[in-house]
This record gives sequence, structure tokens and C-alpha cells, in this order.
Amino acid sequence: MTTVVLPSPKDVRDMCEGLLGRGVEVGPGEPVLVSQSTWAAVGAYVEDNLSLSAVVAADVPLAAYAGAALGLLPLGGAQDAIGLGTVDGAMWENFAELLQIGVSLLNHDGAPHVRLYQTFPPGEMPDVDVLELMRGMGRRVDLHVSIAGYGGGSLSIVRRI
Amino acid sequence: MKVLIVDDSRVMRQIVTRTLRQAGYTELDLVEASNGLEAYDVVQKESPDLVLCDWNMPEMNGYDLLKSLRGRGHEVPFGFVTSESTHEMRDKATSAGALFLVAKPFTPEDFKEALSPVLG
Repeated sequence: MTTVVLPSPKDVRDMCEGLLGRGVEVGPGEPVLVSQSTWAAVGAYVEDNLSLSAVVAADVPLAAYAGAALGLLPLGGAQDAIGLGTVDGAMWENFAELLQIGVSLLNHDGAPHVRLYQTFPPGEMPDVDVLELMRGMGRRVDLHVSIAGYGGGSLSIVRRI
Repeated sequence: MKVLIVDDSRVMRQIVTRTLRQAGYTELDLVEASNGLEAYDVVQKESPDLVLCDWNMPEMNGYDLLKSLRGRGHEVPFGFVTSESTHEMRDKATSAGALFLVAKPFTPEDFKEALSPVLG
């Protein structure tokens, strides 16, 4: 049986700092929720046989701040997006790229290969199996991620057991 | 020298460009492509001295691009810049003819170490 590995807060911090080129603090956080009234940015990861393996979800503030920070977009644009409750355009493209690179936190030697399969911007409801995994049917880590010069939000990483 | 940067993410192409500069490669002629199919055409037209390529992309991924190039006899130096960084993927890349695999996120030092045998 393959051991399911969750990234540590340090793994997440190191990846974010390396990508964003600025300080990032990572600590315990609240679970990211997705519903018709609570929006979030979600990435669904599958194994090579297309079985759902993991979900990574960020609340709107984190998706906006991280997307802006990756592209060196103005803080004001991220704050506007948070005010509107959604993330789109270049900010969303950038956050989706972070979800893509986040696969490096999920792949380990000797474990089944995992790849990003789908992304869901805030406001787009993920598929049912993705929602079920997010709602507690796997092992999870819930973090608060704060990006220097921008701001912070919640990040949840859930792996199917 | 001419370097082709292949990545479906515009911001990642920008970050690769910035990192090349930070690694000291300030005089390069840079061209870009957003997927493997596009990159295949750019290699024909531009004859780059090095291809820096993402692995996972729409249309044609980086691995298939490398196999297509080698299958047609193109020996352009080729390296992956990708979030695929397990030993299995590194072995797969090397077997297909890649010179190196730089894992995202990367540093200017990572680039210098990987690229210096090709670019000096």
C-alpha cells in the first residue's frame, strides 16, 4: 500500500517563496470551504489512470494575493478582486499556474504520479467528487499563508487515502 | 545565442526570462512558444541554441516535443523547466535526450548550474 504524503507547512512556504521571490509565512489555518455562496479557487489532481488523487483549494484572498504577487501585479488590483469576491484575468491565470506547480508538493519517488487535471476559479463549482474530497473524505492540511507585501488567506490540501 | 522558452503560462515565461537575466545571461536572444506544437515550428524557423521547456502543456507536451525533435533528427540542446521533478521523470527526460531538468520553483543558481555547460 502506498503511503499518502501531505506537504508540510515548510514545503508550502519554500515553494511559495521560491516562486514569488518574497517572504511567505505559513501556519495552521481554517479549512477552505466551497459552496454556491462561499467561493474558492480549486485545483483537482489525478493519477495517470484519471482517478482523483488530491484537491488544493485557496480562498479568494489568497488566490488574489498569490496571483498578483506571482505576476508583480499591483496590490490594489488584488484588493479590488477580493472586494468583488472573485479572481479572474491575469490574476487567475497566475494562480492557476501556482496550482500547476503545486503538483511538485504531491509527487514523491515511489508513489503514483499525480498531475493537475482541472482548475476551478472562484464562482465555478467543482465536480461532486472534488467537493466530497474537500469535505473530509481524505487526509488534509489546512494552512494560513501570508505573502509579504500583499496579504494572506487560507489554503487546504486534501489527499484521497 | 538564441534560447527558446516554451511554457503555456505567460507569467512563467516571464519568470524564466527574469531568472536567466539574474543568472547572468543578459545577452541572450530569447524567443517564446506556448506549447509543444508551436515550439516545434519555432525550432525549424529560428534554430535556437537551447530549448527550455515546460513538461505539461496543452496541444503537445514537452516530452512529446523532445521525442518529435529527436525523431526527426533535430539535436538542439534541450532542457526541461518543470514541476515534474521525481527521479522517474528525470530518468524519462534523460532517456529521451534532455540535458537537464530544472524543477520549479527554481533559483538563478539552479539555472546557472544547468545551463553553463551549454551557454557558458
